[in-house]
Amino acid sequence: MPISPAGVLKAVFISLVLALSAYGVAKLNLFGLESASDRVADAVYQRITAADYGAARAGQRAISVIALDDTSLEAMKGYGWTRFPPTYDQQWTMLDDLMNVGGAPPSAMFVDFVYMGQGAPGDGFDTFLSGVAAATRAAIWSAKPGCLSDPLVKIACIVGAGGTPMIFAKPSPGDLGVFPDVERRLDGVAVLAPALVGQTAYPLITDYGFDPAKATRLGVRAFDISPAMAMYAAYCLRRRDACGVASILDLRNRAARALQGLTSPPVDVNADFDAPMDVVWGSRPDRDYLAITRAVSGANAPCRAAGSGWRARLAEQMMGLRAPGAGARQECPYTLTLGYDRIVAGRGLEQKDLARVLAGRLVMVGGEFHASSDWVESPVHGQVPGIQYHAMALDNLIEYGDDYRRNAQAMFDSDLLKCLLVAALAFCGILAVMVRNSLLDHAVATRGETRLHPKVYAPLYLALFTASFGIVLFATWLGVTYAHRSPINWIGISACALGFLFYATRQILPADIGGSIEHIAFVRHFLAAGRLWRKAMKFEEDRLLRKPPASSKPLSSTPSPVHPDQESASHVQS
Amino acid sequence: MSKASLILSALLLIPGLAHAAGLGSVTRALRPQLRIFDDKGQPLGVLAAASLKLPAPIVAFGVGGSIAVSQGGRTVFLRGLDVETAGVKAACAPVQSAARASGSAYAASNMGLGGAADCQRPAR
Repeated sequence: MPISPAGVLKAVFISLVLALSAYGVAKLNLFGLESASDRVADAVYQRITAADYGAARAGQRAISVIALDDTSLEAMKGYGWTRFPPTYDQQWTMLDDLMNVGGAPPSAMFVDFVYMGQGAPGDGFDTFLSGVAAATRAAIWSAKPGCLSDPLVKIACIVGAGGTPMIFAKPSPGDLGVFPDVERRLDGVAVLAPALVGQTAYPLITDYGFDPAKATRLGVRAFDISPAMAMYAAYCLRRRDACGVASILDLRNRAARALQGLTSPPVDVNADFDAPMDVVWGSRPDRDYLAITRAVSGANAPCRAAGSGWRARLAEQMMGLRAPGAGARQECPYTLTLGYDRIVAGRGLEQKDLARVLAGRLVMVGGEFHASSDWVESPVHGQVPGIQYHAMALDNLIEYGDDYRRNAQAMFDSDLLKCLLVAALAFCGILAVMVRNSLLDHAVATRGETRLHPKVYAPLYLALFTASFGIVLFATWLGVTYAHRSPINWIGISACALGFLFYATRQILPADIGGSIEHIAFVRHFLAAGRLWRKAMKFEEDRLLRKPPASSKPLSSTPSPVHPDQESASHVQS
Repeated sequence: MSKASLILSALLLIPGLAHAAGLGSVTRALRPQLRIFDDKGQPLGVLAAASLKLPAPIVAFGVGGSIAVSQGGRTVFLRGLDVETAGVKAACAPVQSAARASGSAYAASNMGLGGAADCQRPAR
């Protein structure tokens, strides 16, 4: 039999109406529910797939986090740290230790502390500055204009000069319209990167669009790079293949010319790192972290040492087994993390451990103070210190390179994509309902059956519902794996599509199933009870005011024409 | 010195030595200059590694796990980072540091593992 064009057009029309409504709801973003739902979908996806991140552990082998927390400061009192913040002299001692005690200096170091003032004369700022200058070999590159044109070429110059790039956090010039003198001096011997407090999508390169005068006043050289991007550049510049990123390879050549006092055209890194990152969190802890923790504390790390696969993690999500985690259920930090006070005390640590943590590594130094605001939400771990966020972003860059997962919200109108998916699913659902009706017609015409057989409708409904959910999951996986985008709102789309399917089949599905099993006595009783229940719950035709008694005297003795409203009311009542 | 004084001195000294030996010893200096501190953590300057007689018995542990040795008739505290030791056992057990209220599925509580909060000396 030929396909009815009218039926197909009707399906298209209804699907488009549904998609447009969904698009409107998404754009309206009432009470922020849409964006909250996007975040939840991303978080749940990450939680389920966290164990599959970083199979090669390339990032874990390269990155270390050295932490200072509230209790570290207490322990460091034994070494003269009797004030907060510690003096510049003491902080330089810390950085100097991290540079030297591993047996070889780190590849690069990021210090997630913002320096706004140089303190008292005896605090040792000059010692700090000269120490940093020696580490970065600033004497070689700081007077070369070609090395100062942007932060990436500065890092390349430091590496080219044989130094260790030291990156210090600074407030974002977009938020703070001042560039303190301390930072200006630090900028002369090191690299400054915005600290990115409170960011949900991790930017790699930030172009503020300042005019030249303002950029100079705020110490912005062409653009700013995030800490993870700065560390990744240092990591790639030390590799022969420059991580396969053409712009970083160009950067190396450009730095070589700049160190000779020559100038080069700027390198366009925006082509490779164009969008903010949707940081992917891993759950499998670093093996070195577990081993060192055992050596230092004499016991296993009090967290979830063994990673579980996506099936177990999915089950945990669905069964509510993972309420706020603690103890053995708490996820371990993904990146090798060690407190500075532990390094200083040295208890349980051997020289090979220090080499593992520091020598040739990308060392990220940061605070993990409970009272500070520098904490971010990790979908896998809960709230984590900001330094872990930078470390994870860097890990993502090492694992994925310039194919890192882009934040979809910042890329294009993802609502449009979601609505197209909703339209496609609705279209398939409507067609499936029409197919079912055609099959019923066929059964009536050929066999005289007034109901569909279960072996006909069961596969149809099963295919309809599972395919709808499957298509959403497949589209999500496809977008994440091949388009390198953050997951679409698979929870919202699934709910929308399944909701529509249940609506579309609200009459035929019970009719088909009920028709097949109503010969069972229990089912008959059940259906009768259902009818009673529906009758009890029905209120659409009820009136608040009682009807006048039928025997009451009419207002007029002569019949009058029925008013249209009265007619419709009586019709509804009947 | 009388015989009784000698016996008394020995009785007092032997447990102290035994206790000191139980804490391990410093076997090697890892840096040419060692930072030294007093028992309150106040910096006392630096000590040339060559002037440290090795192996030096550890006589105590200070705040934050600093290592005390006798040097020139006084007790100085060294950073474990600067020296190699032998016979020092990690005598602490990890404890859960206070979780920060997060409102998310998993509350982060031990991200800073390796901090002093994770290592609690067992009660003696």
